[in-house]
Amino acid sequence: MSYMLQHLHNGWQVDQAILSEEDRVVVIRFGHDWDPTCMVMDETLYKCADKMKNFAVVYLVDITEVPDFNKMYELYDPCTCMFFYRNKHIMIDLGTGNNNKINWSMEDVQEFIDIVETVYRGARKGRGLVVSPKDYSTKYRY
Amino acid sequence: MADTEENSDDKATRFKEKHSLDSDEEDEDGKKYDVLADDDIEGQEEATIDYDEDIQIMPFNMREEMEEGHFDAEGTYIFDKTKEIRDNWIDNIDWVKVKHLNPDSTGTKRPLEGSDSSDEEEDEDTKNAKAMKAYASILDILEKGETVAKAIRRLGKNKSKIPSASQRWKAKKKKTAGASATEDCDQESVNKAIAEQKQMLQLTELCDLLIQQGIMDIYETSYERISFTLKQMREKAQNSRLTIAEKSNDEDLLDMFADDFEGKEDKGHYESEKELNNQGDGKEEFKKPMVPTDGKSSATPSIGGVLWEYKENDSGEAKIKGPYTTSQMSKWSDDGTFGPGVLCRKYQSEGQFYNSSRLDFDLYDE
Repeated sequence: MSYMLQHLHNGWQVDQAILSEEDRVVVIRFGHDWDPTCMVMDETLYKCADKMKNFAVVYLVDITEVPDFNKMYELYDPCTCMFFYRNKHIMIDLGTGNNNKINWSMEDVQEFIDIVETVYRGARKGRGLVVSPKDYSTKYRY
Repeated sequence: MADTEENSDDKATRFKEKHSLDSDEEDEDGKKYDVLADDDIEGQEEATIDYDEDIQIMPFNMREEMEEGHFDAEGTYIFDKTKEIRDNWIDNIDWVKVKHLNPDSTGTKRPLEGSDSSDEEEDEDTKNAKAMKAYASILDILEKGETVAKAIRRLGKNKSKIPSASQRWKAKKKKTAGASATEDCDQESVNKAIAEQKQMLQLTELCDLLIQQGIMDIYETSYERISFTLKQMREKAQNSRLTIAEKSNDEDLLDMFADDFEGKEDKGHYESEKELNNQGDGKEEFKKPMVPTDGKSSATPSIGGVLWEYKENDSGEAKIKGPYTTSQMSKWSDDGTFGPGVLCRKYQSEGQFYNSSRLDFDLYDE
């Protein structure tokens, strides 16, 4: 499979990636390629990307190279995953208290696809906040 | 670089300030408008005298008004809502009683098999029994190949033969004068007409009852259709009775027949589905799994037609039930049949099970 996850190298590219996508969820992983947490997440994203190519597209952003969003999106975690649909940030109730993003790495491919699918379906119905199928409050609390 | 500036503005609105929608994170922005400065109200004059003999003199200024409110920069007067508005009747509400009246849906109700004992289910049962009775009575009145509307026309066409009160009185008078054979014949047809009218009234009454239950097309329904529906309903009733009988048996016995029993239940469910659709080809539609069979359920989120399966708990022996349609799952989830939640996943997805309480079935409905 010659499918690679695409990096975005400046703020303009990030904006364009979010703005130009009409019918798909834009998944952006903010972090560093060398970060162990990101490595795990990227592996999962890589496996997901092809399976969900019909309804989602994945981009990677290095938060040192592109610091434009760090303040606005509060990117202080080693690895942060955020979802956008038609230039709108889609929130997910993950049970963690932070509905803006996934700030841990996920290993279960299907689980992540299920989340993105929920985001996609919710966003298509005009929801700004969707509920993730799984509650992450117990497993990942501190 | 006006463009980038515009973008950054755009970005600022894209992301919400708050992390979540928790109620304790209400905005506390305070005032969202500019208050008009006192100096900006032009032409005010100090108060001179309060009274000129009996006539009260209002000073030409806004001081009195400013005590109860203020102006914004655009000149709109805004009352200060400092006083608490109270509704006395709210104090009289006994909230304990209110909660008692609405038994919580997340409570003790068990799904499906256990739900026979619940109130709603009982209601449904009596409703079904009533409908069955009505159907049976309608069948008695209808002739073969006749729709209800036709039957009403048939029964109503002799209405004119029924004599009015005055006609009856006249006839009686005549009778005393001397009865004739022709009148006897008339009397017979009149009796028949009266009986027919009674039947017709009964029929319309029954139809009304069924329409109230949501069977709107009863007037256009034919004899054969009704008898078929009735047969189906009887079978279903029998099945549910079987289910109850089976349930009362020993747990071990139940396990042994579980497969058979499951099948029956599914069939019942399917039939009710078909009844709803009133379509002959419902079977193919229902059986068709929209989820790709290769196990990668989400290669494409198939819009519409998602099927689900669920189990009641996480233990190994919990049986997976399904497939069920999204609308069915949504209904069960909404009416509390699932209680605190069951574990479900897409039919044939091989993925993990998610708690139904976290799944929004509306999203899959299309």
